[in-house]
Amino acid sequence: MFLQILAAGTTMGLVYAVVAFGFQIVARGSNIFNFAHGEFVALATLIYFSLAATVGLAPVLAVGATALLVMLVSIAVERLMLAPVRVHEPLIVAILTVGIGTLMRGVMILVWGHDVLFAPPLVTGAPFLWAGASISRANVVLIATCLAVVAALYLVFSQTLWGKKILAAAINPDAARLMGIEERTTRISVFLIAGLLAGIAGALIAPVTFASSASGFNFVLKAFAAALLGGLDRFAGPLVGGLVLGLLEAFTAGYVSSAFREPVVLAFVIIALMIRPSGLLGKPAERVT
Amino acid sequence: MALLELRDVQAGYGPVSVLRDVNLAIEADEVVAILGANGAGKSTLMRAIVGLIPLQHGAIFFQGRELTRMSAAERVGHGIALVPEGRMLFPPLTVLDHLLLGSNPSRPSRAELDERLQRIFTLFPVLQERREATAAVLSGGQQQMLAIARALMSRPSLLLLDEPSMGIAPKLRRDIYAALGQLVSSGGLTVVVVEQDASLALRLVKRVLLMQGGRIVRDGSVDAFRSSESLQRAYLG
Amino acid sequence: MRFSYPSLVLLLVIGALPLATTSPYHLTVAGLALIFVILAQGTNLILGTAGQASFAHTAFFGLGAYTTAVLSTRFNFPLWATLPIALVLVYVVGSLLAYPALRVKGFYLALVTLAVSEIFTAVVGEMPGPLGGTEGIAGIPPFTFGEWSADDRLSKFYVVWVGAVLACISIERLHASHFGRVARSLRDSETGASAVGINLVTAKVRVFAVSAVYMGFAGVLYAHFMQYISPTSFGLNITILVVSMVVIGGLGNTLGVLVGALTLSLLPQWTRDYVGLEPLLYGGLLVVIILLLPEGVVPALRDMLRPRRRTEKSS
Ligand SMILES: Nc1ncnc2c1ncn2[C@@H]1O[C@H](COP(=O)(O)OP(=O)(O)OP(=O)(O)O)[C@@H](O)[C@H]1O
Ligand SMILES: [Mg+2]
Repeated sequence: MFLQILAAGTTMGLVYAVVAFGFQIVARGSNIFNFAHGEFVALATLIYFSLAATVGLAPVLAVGATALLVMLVSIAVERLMLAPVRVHEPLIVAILTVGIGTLMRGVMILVWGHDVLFAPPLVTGAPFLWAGASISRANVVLIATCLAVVAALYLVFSQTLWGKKILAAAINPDAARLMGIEERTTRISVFLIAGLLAGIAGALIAPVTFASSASGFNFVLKAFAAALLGGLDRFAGPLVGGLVLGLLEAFTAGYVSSAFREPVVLAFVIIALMIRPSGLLGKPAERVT
Repeated sequence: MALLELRDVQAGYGPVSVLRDVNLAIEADEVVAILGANGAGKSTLMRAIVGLIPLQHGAIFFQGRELTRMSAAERVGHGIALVPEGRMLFPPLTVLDHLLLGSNPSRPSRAELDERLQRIFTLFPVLQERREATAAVLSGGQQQMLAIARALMSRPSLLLLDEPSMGIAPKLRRDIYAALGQLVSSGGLTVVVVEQDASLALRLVKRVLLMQGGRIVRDGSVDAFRSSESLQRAYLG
Repeated sequence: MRFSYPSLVLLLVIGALPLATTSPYHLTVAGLALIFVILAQGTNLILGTAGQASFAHTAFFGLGAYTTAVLSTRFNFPLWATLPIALVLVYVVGSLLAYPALRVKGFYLALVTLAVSEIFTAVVGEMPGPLGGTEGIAGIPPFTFGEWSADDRLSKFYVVWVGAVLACISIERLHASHFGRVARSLRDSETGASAVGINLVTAKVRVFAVSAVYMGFAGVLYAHFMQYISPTSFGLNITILVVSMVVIGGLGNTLGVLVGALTLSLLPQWTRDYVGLEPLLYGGLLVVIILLLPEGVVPALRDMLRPRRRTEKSS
């Protein structure tokens, strides 16, 4: 029981972490709090469903194709709907992303309807039996893939000039401009990464939960919470935040009540942020007063 | 033809104008100091030249090309580099990262990059020792050297320095100016340096501009500046 | 009294609606539109005027509605008792919530308020006993004042209308008062506000709590107007709708917010054939307006009607 919950919580937590990395990278690299981010994940679940179930693509190919398609949508959204905005108050831009997210949900409803769709599993086969617990192969594949994605991200930001340019723009936009880094390029880069991450996360999670045009809000709320909970300015913030959320969710559902899963997790986030406003990994509070 | 030319430049922040009627021509290989009190608009002029703030009026030409509507990143690509006020380093990135980012505007080849790094490390040996250290742990003087080195990595033809000796111990200031002197004497580089305390800068330059209230109020040779007692008293204290 | 003529005229036109139609359906639609006007004005205060990223509207809307519904159905409290209790409760909860959230910069408030809204709907939905669970609470009495009770649609509509007029007048007066100046200074420059001696945290908490009171008030009216409430009336869709009303009309502009709220609540009447496409419609509208007229429709129209001001600006 315990191990099974641990595995489920870790799986979900790592998926949240992958989504939250996208949210964080966009927030830091372009100063946009992208409330549409969850809709990219929802879109990915649906595209994966169509590719794997309707078109009949092999699951692994379907994941890759989904990630690329969602990445293209993400870049297109940035170019067509975010780049032309003439005001720069972060609040207005955030509300614009609320509009974009709503619009995307409208399109998904138009194409896929309101139904919950069950997507074909990534891997089949008997679950692993370990210490009396049975852990599904899908969980293992998901955990491994998410960890690989996080490792790849780490390499991008610590080893490549591309990653460092994004970091530089996030740290000091003016200084980055003096390094010949165009704001436009940075924004395309962060939306590219965020789209790719949302695409992978959505495609991976679709068979575990389901594909649905209504799942976007949950993902953006969890990504937002995970990013802030871990610490928006820390590379590992989304990883820590996502894992905490996923595990707390699983253990609350397993040992307390699945009905109160959401309130418990969200209340924890609120209280944790009151105590540590800069997140679990962040420096002690940066305050208004 | 002047290397850099500003015509009737007006610029500032939002609707507010700080610079007014700025006309200026700087020839290739000149070394110029800009002096002026706090708030005179020296940093604003630097930002306007490099494109961190847009012009409200007027035009800027560099090597005969009009820059007015170019982004800062494009201008840097055309050979202007700024060592900004307050240095503006990236604290979590290493010395080497800064130098690589600095070279980004001119996109050098591998060999070219290595050669530039070598030059930088001869000029500032301490940066070679600390190449893997993050900017956050460098001393103030080392940070300033890094800021200058980062700007030089793009091989600029025009180097703008905004108060490079601010907040730095006198000994290190002299080191920094010694390095600048070396750069200037090796040729091919035009330098504009902004300073509050002019004594070190005046040893480097041939020409002095005075700014006051967003305008250039005096433009002359360093000798003329030195021979004017009232100016001497005002800027060399 | 400071009250703009266009707002007054608009509200009077809505008030005269029963001269044209007394069909319960039309009166319900119009009454709901007026409730949205109050919600939008309250939201505008914190989001537009004070510039704080708060998305807790539906939680306070719901808190007001549930307080009056529970007190009047389970304990037979009269409206003159439930209304003040609900408003005080909303004010207190709003302050308690705002105090820690507003001490932190940036978008933490957005997360905290979104989370609170989610917690609210989840908890209410999971409490089948006193709160009715997902079934909601039915049989809420209509508005009653002493002997008089608003039994028919028309009377209920007018009670809501009076409520909306009071809300609009009071909010315009608030905007013109010292309180309004404080709220605007929070948006314009946080550092500026603290420089002139305004205690930022106290000021933000007060603005947040007062805006919550408007939403709680709307909730009380909603409960007695519809006589039935359920968690779905307080979900995320409502938050998005109200934010759209405010932004499309014109953030920080009370007339704009009034126009935005009326337009968006009446819009579905013309698009009824396309039920289910609301997200497409509202999302698209929000995107187009922010891209083309970021200040909102009403301020943009005003500028167009006053060409002189524009040329002054651009010269
Ligand atoms: N980011 C900004 N926004 C608005 N006004 C600014 C900004 N930066 C500078 N100013 C104003 O512009 C004017 C000129 O400032 P600037 O920084 O160019 O002066 P400076 O000559 O560099 O002074 P210092 O010697 O103190 O560096 C000042 O009045 C200052 O208040
Ligand atoms: Mg300066």
